[in-house]
Amino acid sequence: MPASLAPLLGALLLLLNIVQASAAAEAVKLPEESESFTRQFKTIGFHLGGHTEFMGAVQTDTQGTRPKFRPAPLVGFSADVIVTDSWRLVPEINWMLPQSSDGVMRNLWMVRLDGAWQGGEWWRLRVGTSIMVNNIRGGGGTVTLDNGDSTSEFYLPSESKTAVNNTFDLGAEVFLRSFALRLQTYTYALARSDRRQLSYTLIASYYHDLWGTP
Amino acid sequence: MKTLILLLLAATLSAFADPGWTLTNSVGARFTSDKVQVRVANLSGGCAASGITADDLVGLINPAIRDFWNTIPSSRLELKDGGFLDTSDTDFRDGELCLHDGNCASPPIPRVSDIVITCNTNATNFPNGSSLLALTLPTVLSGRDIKGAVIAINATNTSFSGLSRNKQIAVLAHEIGHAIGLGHTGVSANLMYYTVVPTRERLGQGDINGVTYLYPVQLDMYGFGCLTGTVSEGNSGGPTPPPTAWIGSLLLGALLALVFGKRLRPQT
Repeated sequence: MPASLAPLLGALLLLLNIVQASAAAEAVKLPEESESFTRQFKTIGFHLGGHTEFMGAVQTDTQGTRPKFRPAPLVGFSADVIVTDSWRLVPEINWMLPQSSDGVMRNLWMVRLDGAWQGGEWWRLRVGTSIMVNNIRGGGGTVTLDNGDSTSEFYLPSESKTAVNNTFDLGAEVFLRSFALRLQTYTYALARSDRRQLSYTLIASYYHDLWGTP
Repeated sequence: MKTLILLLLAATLSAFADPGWTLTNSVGARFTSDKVQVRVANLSGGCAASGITADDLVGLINPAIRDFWNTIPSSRLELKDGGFLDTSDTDFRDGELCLHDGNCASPPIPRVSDIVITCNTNATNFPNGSSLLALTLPTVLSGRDIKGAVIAINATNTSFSGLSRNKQIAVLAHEIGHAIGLGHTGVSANLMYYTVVPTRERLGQGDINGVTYLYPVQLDMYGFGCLTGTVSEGNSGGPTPPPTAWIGSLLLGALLALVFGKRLRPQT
């Protein structure tokens, strides 16, 4: 089987599970309780946050400092899809604002899916996964930098390259009316202790109720 | 809540700085294999006069790759400690670090595969009075593919052996950075900065971005392996996904089925 078909099959597996879950959800509803598909979307959320990547694993000065709080701005949006009274599916897209220097730009997109368990009126827990799409692109060119006893020309990247990681995510969220604060964690390379890294986001959110329901 | 949002925004904007990184060549050459061995040329006699022994150097490999280049989940490059490369070729010690293009002033250091570290006393590489600690050259380039690279440690004086062990590890990790295709940076927080800094424990953000650019991982499933080959480079002839790569997909599917299937089972 061509390697390129592998992720499609993986996505198909996921889709089958989601469809199965949706079908089961329909099965438990009485006819008078059934709602249109669009009514399953309860809220849409708008997010603003600070994303700390690879917590404590990135050196930021010449003294060996490796900060645990190193936020980069992030925006995003999501939707809450009702599954049961206490469970929601929360698809979400976040974007860490681009960082650029010398014409080299980096973008990080998070395509996420959480299962959110409503623990009470004012809090919920999330478990899910993200596809982290990390794109780096440059326009080429050279820069002159110190090199040993003199200087040399070094080259800037001239292509666009994208790294894609799957992460295992956990989060906790507290609500205050339509607003919420969330700590969302993302574990890279869960199965490999040498490459495992933890990133997290502190997110402030506004949730807009699509149907005006309480 | 508004205050909290404003505070969060201020905190995030204050950290909006980006380090730089560069490449050693214009085409972005890199090893085609995801797994590259790092070895030490085990010369009889070594470079004992400079205080550098092959045993010392081989002991630096593991921390140099474990604490630096092998820590990045967005990079598919996996460096391996290959131990000694037993050789009797004294050109590793005496040869010039140059491309085998007929323009070398003296006999060159032999071609190698993967990455080979050697102590070196060649006066063209390290002129008298030079403060250079080490030099690196990818010796076998084929198009944009690095086939091998030599790291020559300056054995004309005791500048390298006089460093603390942590600094020796950092110097070696820096040279390995050149061997895999990265150039220098102007940001001192990065390993690829041109000089030794007081404390170097991990990569900087620029190093991470650089190695991610050269060796981008493709849909790594929770560390079980990549499902694809080199998608961003056309996905032609990429590696076959390892069987373990499927475990990630299956676990995710099983998790969803467990959580939602059980919760949604029709009530009687």
